[in-house]
Amino acid sequence: MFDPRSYRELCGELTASAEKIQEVIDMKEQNRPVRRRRPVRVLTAVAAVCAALAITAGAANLETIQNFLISTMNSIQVSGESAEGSFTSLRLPEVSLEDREGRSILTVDGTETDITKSLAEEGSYTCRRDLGDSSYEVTVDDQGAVTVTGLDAEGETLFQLSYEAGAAGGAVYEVAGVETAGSAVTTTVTGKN
Amino acid sequence: MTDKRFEAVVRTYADTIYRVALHALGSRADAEDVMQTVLLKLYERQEDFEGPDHLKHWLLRLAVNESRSLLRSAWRRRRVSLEDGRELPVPEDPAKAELLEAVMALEPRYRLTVYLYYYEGCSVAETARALGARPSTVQTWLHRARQRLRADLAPEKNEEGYGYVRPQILS
Repeated sequence: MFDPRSYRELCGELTASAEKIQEVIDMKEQNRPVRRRRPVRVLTAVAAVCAALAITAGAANLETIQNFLISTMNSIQVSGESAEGSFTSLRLPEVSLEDREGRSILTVDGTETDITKSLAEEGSYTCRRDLGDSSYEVTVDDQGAVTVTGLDAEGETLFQLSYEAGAAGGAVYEVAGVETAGSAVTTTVTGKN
Repeated sequence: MTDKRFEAVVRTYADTIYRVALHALGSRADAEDVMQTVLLKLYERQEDFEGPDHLKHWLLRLAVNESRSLLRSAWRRRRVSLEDGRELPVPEDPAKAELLEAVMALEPRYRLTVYLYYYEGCSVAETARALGARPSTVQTWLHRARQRLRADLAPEKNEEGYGYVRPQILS
């Protein structure tokens, strides 16, 4: 039986170490950390439906998807059923992040948003679009990494696609499918650079 | 923010931020890293807060966001694949240890929902804002988390062999 009172007592005992807290207080007296912005990167995931590759998401195939995306990544469509619910089609949005005269401009399906203030104040910016039986979230962190998360009608994560600068400054894409019994998420990737 | 004011805020909210990150990440070391990052961002912040509630909810949301950023980071994924990734405090009381284990066995979004709702006393709407989700979604998460915890912590689960007879088919 879950007892909220016991849980509150338990949480009260979870405390950070005094040394780590003191470190923060001492750190502020040193030079502030210099934040480096990554160069302008553009992530594009357009939903032009012309199947070139169809992969069922699973551990064995994620690497295949990832390798494919590193070289060619322009068009993605995801459809199928999850254990929690079904969705007919989830179209990934067209997303771009630009550094425009010192301002961070996020464009999602043609709608531009100046997210400079959100990144500075909250460390990230998230927008969400409902598509009826599914939705997606676009999250940008203050280092400019972009994550697109597909959600089913219940808010369960179906997959996640993230975009970060690679070690050599190139693009690295990763697709993480949800592996649950009875799930069948099909990812169709198309397009050329 | 003055240094004196900053130190007071650190003393007040460091543990809160740590607990949020611990629920999100399941690792004490990562939670302390997030706590430090969030507090340094607080120190760098130029704008004033409208009041204590504004400050608290800003810190909660930032703690959630920073934890998610860490979860997404490539280096953590690599590290977690090599190590277990779990490094939780162990309460001395066995009942509390079992409770912590049950909560941490939930998915991160459920753990965060339970923490914000039951410990921080956030409303569903406030929890939803902190997690960047819809209130209806948070209600679903809360319902599922309660169900899972009830099942995991059910008394009969641990009473096997003590007045409990497993049903059998007798030939």
